[in-house]
Amino acid sequence: MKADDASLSRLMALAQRGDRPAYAALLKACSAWLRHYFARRIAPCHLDDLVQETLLSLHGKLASYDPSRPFLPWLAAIARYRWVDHLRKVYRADEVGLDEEVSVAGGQESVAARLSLDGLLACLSPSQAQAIELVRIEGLSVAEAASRSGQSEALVKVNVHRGLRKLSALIEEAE
Amino acid sequence: MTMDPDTDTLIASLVDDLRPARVLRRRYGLALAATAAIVTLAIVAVVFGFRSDISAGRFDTLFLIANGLFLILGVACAATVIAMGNPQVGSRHFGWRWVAAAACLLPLSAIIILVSGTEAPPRMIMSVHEMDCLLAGVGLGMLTAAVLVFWLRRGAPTSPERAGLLVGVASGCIGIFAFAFHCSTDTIYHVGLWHSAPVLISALFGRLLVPRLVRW
Repeated sequence: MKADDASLSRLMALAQRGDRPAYAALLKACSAWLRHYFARRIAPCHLDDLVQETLLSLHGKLASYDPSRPFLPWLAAIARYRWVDHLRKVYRADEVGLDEEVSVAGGQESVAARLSLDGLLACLSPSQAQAIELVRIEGLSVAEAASRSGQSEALVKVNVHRGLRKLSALIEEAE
Repeated sequence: MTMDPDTDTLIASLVDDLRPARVLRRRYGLALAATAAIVTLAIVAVVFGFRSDISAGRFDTLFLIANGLFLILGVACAATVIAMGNPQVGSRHFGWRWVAAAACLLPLSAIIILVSGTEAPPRMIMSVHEMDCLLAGVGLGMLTAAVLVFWLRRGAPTSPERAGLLVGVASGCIGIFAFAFHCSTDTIYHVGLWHSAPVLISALFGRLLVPRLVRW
């Protein structure tokens, strides 16, 4: 089903009244839309998890959609929130955005994911971007990153921390 | 685009779990917040009593200006919090900042007058009465804060930190707005410093505590 706003909005209004066939159609359309939305924003190995997490959030927050407003901006806001949360979790867990498995998977999606990260990193200060690149994306230890970048270990930690915080804020602010 | 089998299973279980949802409409939220403010004012009337000039139908200029600013800031922040319950890419919630900047004129004026010696400073900058205003402002704002947190928990705020800050500012403003109907001190020192302090403290509490309650 093509995810046009008017149809989705109608399906959502029906779903809010308890219409299950409409809800099933809505979730399928949202799932496809979300896969497309996240494909350029996340490493492919996390795509299914993130789509499912977002569908769960959509289900839990059905009441927060006002049928008098457009649907897709609401879905995009939910998706963006889950994406930011996912980025935080992934980075916190030191599960680098582009690990070996992803690099092997290669292909356009991982390139696109990398490009979208690069676009965000370009908004940070050079030292913050470098620290995040080295520690979180290349997977170096703090000591190795400090040696490579010429920053002290403490500064690398501070730059990673502040850079990720700014990254989250940038994503939340990005419209 | 192919669908992951797990996603199909998830969709089936979500559909099975579907229950009718009561839509979160902003006008309900605004009505709830307005009710909280009115109840807070009623609490002040019953528990503390209104100051004598207001009871007699007379109003001090500083009371009107300062309380007007606190009320507008409280309403602006509460309305923003309520709007944050219905997320929408493209929505920007920055209007409250201008009102906050205007409200900052109160403590700034107090500090300028105090530092410049334009008026004789009070004998005591802080007394029991000042602490009363501080604590009552924060305490009376709790009802508004509870209503706004309830709203955010039902909604889907996508900036919990900002929502928490705004809950704090809104509740502090409504709290001190209500208590000002009891407080009879109309000096710029007192109003500028000690009626602004509950807003700042509530904002701090809101920023620190509310995100944990509304994160989803």
